[in-house]
Formats: sequence, C-alpha cells, structure tokens
Amino acid sequence: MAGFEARSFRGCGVVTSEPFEVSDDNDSLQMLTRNSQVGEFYVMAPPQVKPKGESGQHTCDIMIFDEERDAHVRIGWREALKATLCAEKDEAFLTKHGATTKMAGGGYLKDWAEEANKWADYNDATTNAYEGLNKDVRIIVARPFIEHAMHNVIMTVAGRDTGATLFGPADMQLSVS
Amino acid sequence: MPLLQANTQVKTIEGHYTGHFKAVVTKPQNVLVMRDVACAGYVAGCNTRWFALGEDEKFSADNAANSIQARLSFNNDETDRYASMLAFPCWEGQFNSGQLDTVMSVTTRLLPWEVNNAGLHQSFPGGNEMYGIYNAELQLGQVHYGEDMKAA
Repeated sequence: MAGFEARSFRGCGVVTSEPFEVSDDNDSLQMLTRNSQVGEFYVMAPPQVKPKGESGQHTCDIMIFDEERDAHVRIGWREALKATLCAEKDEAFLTKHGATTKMAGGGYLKDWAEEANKWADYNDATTNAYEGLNKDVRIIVARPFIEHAMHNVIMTVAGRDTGATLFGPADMQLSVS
Repeated sequence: MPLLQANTQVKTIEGHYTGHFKAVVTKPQNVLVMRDVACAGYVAGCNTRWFALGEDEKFSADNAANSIQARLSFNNDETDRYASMLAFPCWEGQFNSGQLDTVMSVTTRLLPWEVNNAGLHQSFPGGNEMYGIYNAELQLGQVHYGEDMKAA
C-alpha cells in the first residue's frame, strides 16, 4: 500500500498526519507529536585508589552533556556538594536534619557531609592527604525532567479487518440573501 | 461543522454543513501504537544548571522548590531559562544493598518493587528517611501536579 505521499518504510506504506488548525489564536495541533520527559542520574564517586602524582585535583569531578550548549560540561565535586544543601556546617538544611537523619547504607547525614567536605578539599587540591578519606561517599546528580518533543507512529494492518471510518448522518443548508 | 455565510453587501453566501465521523478499530491486535520513535526537538531539562542555585548565586531549598515549579510550569516566558539538576547525598552501601541500582524515584511515585515493600522510597539516595526530608524541603510532591494520567 502506498501512502498519500507515495512513501514507504521497510515495506509499510506511510501516511503523514497533518496538523489540525484549532483556531486563529492557537498553534495547530499535531496529534502524533507530544512532549515527553525522561530522567537520568549520575553517581559521583571519589577515586577508589590513590591517584598518581602529587595532587588529587579534579579526581572527583564528572563531565556530562549539556544539550543547550551542545558541549560536555565539568561538574565539580564541591559544586555538587553545595547543591545537596550540605556543604556548610551552618547550612540551614544540615543544621535541621544532619544529626537526626540516618542514611541508608551508611551513617548520619552530618557524617556524610563531613566526609564529603574532606573530599571537596582533596578535589580542590587544598590538601593532598588521601589516606583517611572515606571512599564510600557518593553524590547523586539527577536530571529528572529532560523534555523533548517526540513524534509517534501508529502502525496498522491495512483493510476492513482492522476497522473502518464510520460516516453518520450529514446535513447541509445553503441560503442566499 | 463548516460554515459558509452569505451577505449581498459583501457578496458572500451562507451555508451550514454538519457531519459525523468516527474511526472504529474492530481488531485491536492489528494496531500498534509506537510512542516517541523520533525526536522533533529539545524543550528543556538537559542543561547543567542547578535547581537549588538562585539568582543570588546561593544554594537553598527554597530556590530548588521555586525553580522546579518554574521549570514544570514554564513560568519564565521572557528568558526561557530553566534549571535541570538536583544533587543528593548517598553512601556506597546503598548500591551494595541493591536498593539503588539503575533506577530511582525522586517523586511521590514508588518503583514497582517498592510498592509491596511497606511503600518505602528505598531507591531514593540516602533511603526513605532522606526522601522524607528532601520531599518536604524541595516540595517534590508538586512534580506530578496537573499531569495527564491518560498520556502514559
């Protein structure tokens, strides 16, 4: 079967859905296009073995893709730590929850913040002391609302067996003044 | 219902047409709906700006809650500038326990295997207790407001 535009894809005829004009004030409505969201997360981890060289600078950082800049961007450990709201000891979030919130798989939130801050110093090359740092500290970086306009397809078997378009009663009135 | 109008002063004719049409599928197994097969363009959410970082260059829970709301409601018409990223504390032990592996939920929704487990957000970074405080501080419950449940 050939589609209206005489195109086919791997043996299937292709019929392109045309957008509906809803009104003058609104954009046309394309029934087979919609906005879809996906989410993703990254795990930031400090080096599990001591890095070679004198400095551990940037060894906790990650590079992730920025779709708006069309480039990979470095996410620094300290920057991510600040985004957890646990970077400073006097941070309101940490003061409120640090000593009372027990985290899964480890100690309390304030313990985590303390260890994560040590890694921030190591990652900034403020200190080079690797021994004694807690290697189980992680930061989860999430992008939960990645949204794209996406095209959709309805594939059907051609013919009356699949279904039909039913026509109901029609009415026409015409007048001339 | 198309409309055709007549007016001799402006030389038009008026008509009304009404029709009823309906596409009916009698054999659903012949129909396959394939969602999201091709990208038509980027909308938002894949940059490297933090929700918690405000215009004042400070990180706070209020900034995060407001920025998430702004992003999901597309409030910033003028700048079209939204944030995308959240960060959460976590211990390696949570990965070893299998609670946080390849998928997690940052909203009120539970993962399928969490539903039968006392309804706890065990996949959330830091576990259920951490979900409780981040949910309250960042108002993560707002994420699903206004969602079209039929659009899954």
